[in-house]
Amino acid sequence: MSKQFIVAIGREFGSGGKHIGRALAKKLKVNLYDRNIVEKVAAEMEVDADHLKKYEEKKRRPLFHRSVAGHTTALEDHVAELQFGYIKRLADSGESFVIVGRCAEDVLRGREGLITIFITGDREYRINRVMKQFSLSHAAAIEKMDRHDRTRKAYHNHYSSGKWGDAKNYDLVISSSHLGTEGTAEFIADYIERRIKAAE
Amino acid sequence: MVAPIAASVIFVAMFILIVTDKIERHIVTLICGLLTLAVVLGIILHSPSAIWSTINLSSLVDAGFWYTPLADGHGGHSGIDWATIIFIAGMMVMVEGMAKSGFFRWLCMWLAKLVNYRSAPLFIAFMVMSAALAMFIDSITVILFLAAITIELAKLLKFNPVPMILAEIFCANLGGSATMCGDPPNIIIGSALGYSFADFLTNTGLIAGLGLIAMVIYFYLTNRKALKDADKVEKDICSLPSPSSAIINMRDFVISIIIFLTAVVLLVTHAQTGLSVATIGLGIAVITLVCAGQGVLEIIKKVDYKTLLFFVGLFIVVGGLEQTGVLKIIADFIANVSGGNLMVMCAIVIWVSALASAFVDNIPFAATMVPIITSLAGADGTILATLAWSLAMGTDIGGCATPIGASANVVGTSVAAKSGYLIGWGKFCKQSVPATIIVLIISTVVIFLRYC
Repeated sequence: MSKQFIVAIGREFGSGGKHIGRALAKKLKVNLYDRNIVEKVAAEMEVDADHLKKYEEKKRRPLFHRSVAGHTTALEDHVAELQFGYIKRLADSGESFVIVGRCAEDVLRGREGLITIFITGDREYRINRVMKQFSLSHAAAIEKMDRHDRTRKAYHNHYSSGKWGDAKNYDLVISSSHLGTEGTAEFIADYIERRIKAAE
Repeated sequence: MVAPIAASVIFVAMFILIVTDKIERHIVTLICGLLTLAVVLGIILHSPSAIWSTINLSSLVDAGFWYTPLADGHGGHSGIDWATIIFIAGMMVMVEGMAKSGFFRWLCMWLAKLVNYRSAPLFIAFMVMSAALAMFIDSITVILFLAAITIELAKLLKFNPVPMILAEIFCANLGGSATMCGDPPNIIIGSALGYSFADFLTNTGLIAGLGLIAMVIYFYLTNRKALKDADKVEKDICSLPSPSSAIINMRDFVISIIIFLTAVVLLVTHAQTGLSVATIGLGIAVITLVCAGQGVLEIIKKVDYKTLLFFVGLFIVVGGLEQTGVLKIIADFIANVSGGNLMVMCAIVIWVSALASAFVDNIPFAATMVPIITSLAGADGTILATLAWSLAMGTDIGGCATPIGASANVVGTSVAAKSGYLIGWGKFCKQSVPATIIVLIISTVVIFLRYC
């Protein structure tokens, strides 16, 4: 696979998007980028990554910020821009990679070799995964899952032209409920290999 | 009764839309301005003369608009303050020309080299330079360059640039308060009430000078440990770029310095020469463009026309409030609360202006307050001047307290954030709120002792 390919994965909370991304990266022998992008941005800029993480994958608050001549006080906007810039530079470098979240499908839209995927899942399946992963009660898992989904949706829809989870924005939308995370990863890997072959 | 309510509703809606920051502020003020003209002055008041007076184009053909040999406090007129807009546009053109030549970068690098890149002297020198430049150039431009170079030096000299950027932002606002052309509220106040550059320098300038001394001490003391630690780190001074490397084009560089100095001389002497700020702004813009050669279009394209349109819409909305008597009602209320006591009036103007400016744009606030203080002072020029200096200090300094209080704060924190140095509300206010309170206390005391 000498030609560059980039797999951009969007995901609902609890759907196993991160695990699927990791499995795909391993299978395809490429790097996985998710939250570690913040660390890479911070290392590049020689600043504290923890401080950046506070504003990562969040939409700006509705009040108490101001814009002047193309500048803004909304720190969420800055962290998003720093990440988007890093993602674009990665793509420009010619590296093939898997990226989870960060509006990557929108940031890289139009690039040759981009494959966009959204992972969803039945509600009960996702609740069970969250309960198991975080040792939470049913109610607490629902609360956590809904909160994260709201934040992700708001973030994505604020910084992207397309809507979060809308099938029109992705090459493939798949539920992980039926094949599980491993099975879904294998299915997607097969799809990616076919896509790469078709492009050659 | 309907007209004042309609004008107030439009005004409040404008403020809310500016604060929510969802629509660009020039679009907000222009739409609200059009609504004021059409609904309040046209449909409700049926007054073409009020519309004409608010648009105020007739002032442009008045000889006194361009040349006032006997400058005096002639009192404000309602509507669009074209003198302020032309002056700001002229300064924007000049600043673009200077930036293009590499002037600001050269100045920062030269000053850093002059203090041998030592942290504490560099910290103080950049604070003083920020204040000095902001006396003549808009604070956005000053901070745009200063913050960027501070970050560059911080990376090379291994220190945390955030305290220095916060100090520079504060000093840019403080320096802006010293002169008529330093901060938009001052241009609005000076232009509307007919004060000269020297009037500001000898009144708000004195307070700003005292404030600067206090701030150098305050920022140094609150950051002395970090400054000392920074000097312990080994630095490779040879790797730093030389000041001369900042100069993009020597011819443009020399011309931009000459134009800048000419602007300073014209502003300082405008009461003597009789040239209005509009004439100076227009003249400086023309000279800059003539000298720019083939770069004319590039400079014109970079002018922040959105800010100019913002001013146009804003002046119309405030003009609507004035025409419908809303501002007179507010002035009467302040007069009642203060019982006509000048000290109380000044305290209210300073502290209320400061509090408001910390959270909302100080430009619309100042534009709204000018007719109010004019009404409060009645025919007494001394009271008007005292209230004008109170308003200038309140709006200029109040804006220092929060990240959204003044344009320089937004630009400074944004430049830092683009390099990964995030300055949130907590970090900003922890340093700037005490500083703001100190300078406001100095302002109040000086105004009480000197004028009341």
